[in-house]
Amino acid sequence: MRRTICFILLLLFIPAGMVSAFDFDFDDLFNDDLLIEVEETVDAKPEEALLVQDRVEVGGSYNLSFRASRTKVKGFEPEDSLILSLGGNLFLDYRPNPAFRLFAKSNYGVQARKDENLTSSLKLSELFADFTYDNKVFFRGGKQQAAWGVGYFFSPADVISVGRIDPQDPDQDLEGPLALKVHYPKGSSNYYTYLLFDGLDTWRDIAVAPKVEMVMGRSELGFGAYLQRGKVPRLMATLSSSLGDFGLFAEAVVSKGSDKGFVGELGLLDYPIREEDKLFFHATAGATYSLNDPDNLFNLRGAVQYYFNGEGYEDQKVIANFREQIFHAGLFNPDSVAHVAQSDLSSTGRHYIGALLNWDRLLNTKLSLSGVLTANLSDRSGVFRSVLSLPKIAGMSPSVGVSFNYGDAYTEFGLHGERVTTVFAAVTIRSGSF
Amino acid sequence: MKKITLLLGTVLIALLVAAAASAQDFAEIEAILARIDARTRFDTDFSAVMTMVVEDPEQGTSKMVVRQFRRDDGDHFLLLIQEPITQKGQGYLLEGDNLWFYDPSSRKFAHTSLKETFQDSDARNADFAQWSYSTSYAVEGYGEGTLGSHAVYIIDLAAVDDTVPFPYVKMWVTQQGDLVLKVEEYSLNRRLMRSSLFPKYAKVGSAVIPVQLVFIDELVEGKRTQVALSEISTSEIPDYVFTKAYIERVNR
Repeated sequence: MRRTICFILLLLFIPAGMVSAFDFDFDDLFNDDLLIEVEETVDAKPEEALLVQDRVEVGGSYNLSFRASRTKVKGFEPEDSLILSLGGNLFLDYRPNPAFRLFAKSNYGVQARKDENLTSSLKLSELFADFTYDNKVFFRGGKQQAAWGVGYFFSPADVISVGRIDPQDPDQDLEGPLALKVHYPKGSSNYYTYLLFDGLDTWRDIAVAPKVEMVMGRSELGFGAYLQRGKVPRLMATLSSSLGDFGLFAEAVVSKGSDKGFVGELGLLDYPIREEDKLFFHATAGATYSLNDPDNLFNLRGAVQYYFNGEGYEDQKVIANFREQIFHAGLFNPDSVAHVAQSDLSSTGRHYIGALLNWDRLLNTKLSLSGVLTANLSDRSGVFRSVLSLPKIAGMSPSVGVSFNYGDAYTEFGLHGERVTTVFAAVTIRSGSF
Repeated sequence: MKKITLLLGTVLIALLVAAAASAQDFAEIEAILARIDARTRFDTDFSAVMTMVVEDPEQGTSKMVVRQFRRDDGDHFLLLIQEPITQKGQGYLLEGDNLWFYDPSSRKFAHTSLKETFQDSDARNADFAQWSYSTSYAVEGYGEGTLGSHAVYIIDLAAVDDTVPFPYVKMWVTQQGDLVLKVEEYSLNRRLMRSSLFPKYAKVGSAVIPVQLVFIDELVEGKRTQVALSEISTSEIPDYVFTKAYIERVNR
């Protein structure tokens, strides 16, 4: 009994990160009494203690890294780049009582580039208040991250986030809207309503986005809508599930009209063409998979996703000709193309694919290899990036990598026909939270 | 001819008796499994703090503190990571057959599986839910032996559904009290993947649960995770705790 108490006390008070050895004899574990008495904690209400925690908490994260790269553009001299960067976030969490909290988070970044002045940035990421009605209805008001979709590389159903997923860096945080979220959980279902306030001229322009999530078997279904005066109404559905060792996800969106400006046969002369009555359909589906090899030879984690973009061009020559036209026009008269929205030049394909493969502990070594592909299947262009993570040295995480694009001139990723290849070496000097 | 018929009849009867005896024995073991499952099931709500020490020969020793809320009626649990600070706020919410992982940095919930490992420890998500040996496994055979100073049944099990992390299990159960002391888990090709030790139990409310757990990765020498439970309570937990809204509220 005494040894058991010592064991538990040792576990409870061991400092985080402490290197220790628990070298007791496992065979001796079963020689004592098996049943011990424990004193129950009464009236502690840990669920409420977690809601107030230390009442005020200030913290953040940091990441100090160095990156050296060489970019080769076909037909041009290679360009070298050296960047020392410090980035992360700072937050303030104020919880006066279990029913209310105020939260603010800012992202910061400082960059020193070779032959350039120091640059810095500070951006408010979130600023919201949480409150509740009778612990049944939950409110969050303010600038907040809001993840509506379930897609990994592409998420057409996430109709309320301000930011869009970068398929080459899908784990990056997305900028959320200025909104009031009302959340009513009932059983295993969740009912949400968002009132969205971004870019308002009058209160009549407030967007409304209701959504419901419900569980069916081992799957979760979501249905939502987005309604705003002067904007295209959208209906969306999501599905996340699992099948064996595969995680599955899918999204579908239908909208009456599009917020994009389209290009016709006349290029700049008839741009932008607005489609207000046509129905547009988006659909995407993907899967994730992890393989843990007992011999550590092939520890793999992969994700693949297909995306049908109903707002893409059926004839890719139309948008390629338009890109070529604005490139040449912009060289001589930048004002003549100033009205062209960059968002109208991206996501122009009908069919996309995103794929990721992480090979951890490559062939039982301390190396890890990853590759990310984003491909526009409609115009046969794409971007590929691969990173080889090397063993840690004195707490620092070095890596080397390569990225390149492919595709014909004036395709989505083919730029103006030149192949851009970047090789880089990077080291994360220190990262952590406080 | 009569002799042959008599002999065959005798052999047949002997086989039937042996089969019946074997089935009877398995029925006893199945009853033990049912009692094990029932004894680790809470009639009340349950909460505790789990302190986990993960020993990894490459990564060193790390400590993790996890707040656990559990309600077996409806198969609910919520695991909230309190330490280390880099993982603080990550949570696992179980509702019936569905398990979500919450990542506070993206504020996203993602479907995950009870079969997955818990963080980078040697524990699986399923280790924190109620046990289901009697429903998820069929008895393949058993024997008797000792473990430490305790007389035990050594039971071989094979999974009958795909909800459990490992298809084959060998478990050591005390002959008195039906306490599971040790479990070895095997892959499909019968390779030993993990050993779990449960050397200490406590009666909490109507249940008897392990309060000291050791999970040993049998594929990486020296890799193991030790778990101790503290701040144990069977007080009623409000319904709102087992919701996505609660995880979002407690997070930074």
